[in-house]
Amino acid sequence: MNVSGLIHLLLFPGLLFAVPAGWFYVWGEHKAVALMQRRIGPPLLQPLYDFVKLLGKRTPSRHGIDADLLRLWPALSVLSMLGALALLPVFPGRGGFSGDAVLLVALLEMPSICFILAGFTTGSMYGEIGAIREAVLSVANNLVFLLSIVTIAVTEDTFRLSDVAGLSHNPGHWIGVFGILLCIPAKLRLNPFSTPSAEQEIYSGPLTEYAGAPLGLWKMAHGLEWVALTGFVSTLVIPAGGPWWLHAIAFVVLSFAQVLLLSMISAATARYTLQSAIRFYFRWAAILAVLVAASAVYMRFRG
Amino acid sequence: MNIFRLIFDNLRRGTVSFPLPHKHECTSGEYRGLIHNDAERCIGCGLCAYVCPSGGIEVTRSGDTYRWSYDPGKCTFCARCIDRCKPGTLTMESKLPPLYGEQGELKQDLDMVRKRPVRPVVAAPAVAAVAPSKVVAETPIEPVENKNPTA
Repeated sequence: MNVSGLIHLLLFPGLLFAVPAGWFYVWGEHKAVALMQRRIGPPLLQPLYDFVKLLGKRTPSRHGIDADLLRLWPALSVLSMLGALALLPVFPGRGGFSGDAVLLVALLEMPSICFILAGFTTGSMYGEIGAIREAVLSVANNLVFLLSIVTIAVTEDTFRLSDVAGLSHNPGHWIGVFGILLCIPAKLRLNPFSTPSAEQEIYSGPLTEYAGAPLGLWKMAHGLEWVALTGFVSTLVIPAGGPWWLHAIAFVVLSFAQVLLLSMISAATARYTLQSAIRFYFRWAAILAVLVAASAVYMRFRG
Repeated sequence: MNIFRLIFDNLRRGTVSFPLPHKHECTSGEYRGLIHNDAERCIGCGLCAYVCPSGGIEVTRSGDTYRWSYDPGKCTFCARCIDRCKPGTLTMESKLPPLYGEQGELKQDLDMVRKRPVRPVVAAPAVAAVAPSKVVAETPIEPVENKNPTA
């Protein structure tokens, strides 16, 4: 029995840590946006209050919509994010689930797929438009995301997460980290890539028809996405070695710094049109593709 | 990198909003706050309840007494009741309403005895009949003698 893996899944960075950390990161997001708009912003426990309030709300039944399917998509998103968190090599070389970057990418992509399916399940016009936008944007940003991971894997000569984790002096590693950072706003549907959930245009897209506990689960999945994606970047830049508690502190601090930075950029930018967002990611995809090819050729001749 | 300068400037300038419950009086003189009824002058005509679009004011009569009820939870602060109040007994507070947690917590009930409507004072008609306006207008105005020429 993999005790270390269970600890990763249930304690840190899994369920027990990730759920409160997700609310904390969502609070950081709202607070950063508020400060950019010169407001005080919400109190620390506001995301928890919102979640409890949503759990207590009665969800009206809608004719022609499968309520079980509506509940399934956010629940799947939460579970896949917990799985992704359990895979993160926060303490490299100290056990945990053994997985590679491909499995992590698949798990990180699940909320996006669930978001698309939720949009079509609701039967709402706004939900379907949001789902289509998410699908198109997902293709564009995943090209950069995958190429970034491939760049890191090629430069480190492995796809194993525990081996690619940690600080590296290889420029390919840093280019890959930068590429992943570029994709996080699109994966979290933050400005300027918030086209799938544009509140003013399509009323949050697939979430239009959501209320009560299922909406609360979506909010929780969003918090867990924050933890998983920023945590992934943190594991790639925190140097290996040193005590485990220092790793844990550095993991939280670096992740939260990313939350603040990305939220402030989100507040300071306007929403891209779908075409502009796709153009942005394809431009970076082209750059990364050249760098991956160059890295592969370099690795071939070196070794 | 204009975006980072924008972020830095916004952080440096600080916040302009107040935490709740606030200690600052942040309303202007024309702020539409809670409605206050002067029970001494209210005649119980019920016009305020009649024109209230949201049902925030209710007047229930029983004989010579009546109850004037005001629920700020229903009030839209449109001030139509203020405009229609003939004796001018209704006024609006210019400060923020207090925070409340229970529905109907700020509701007010005033039990009053119904009074006869106060009619505005009309000028004595006899004077107008004897001295028509035309005659009054043509009467020359005597200049006021200046008793203090040095001033």
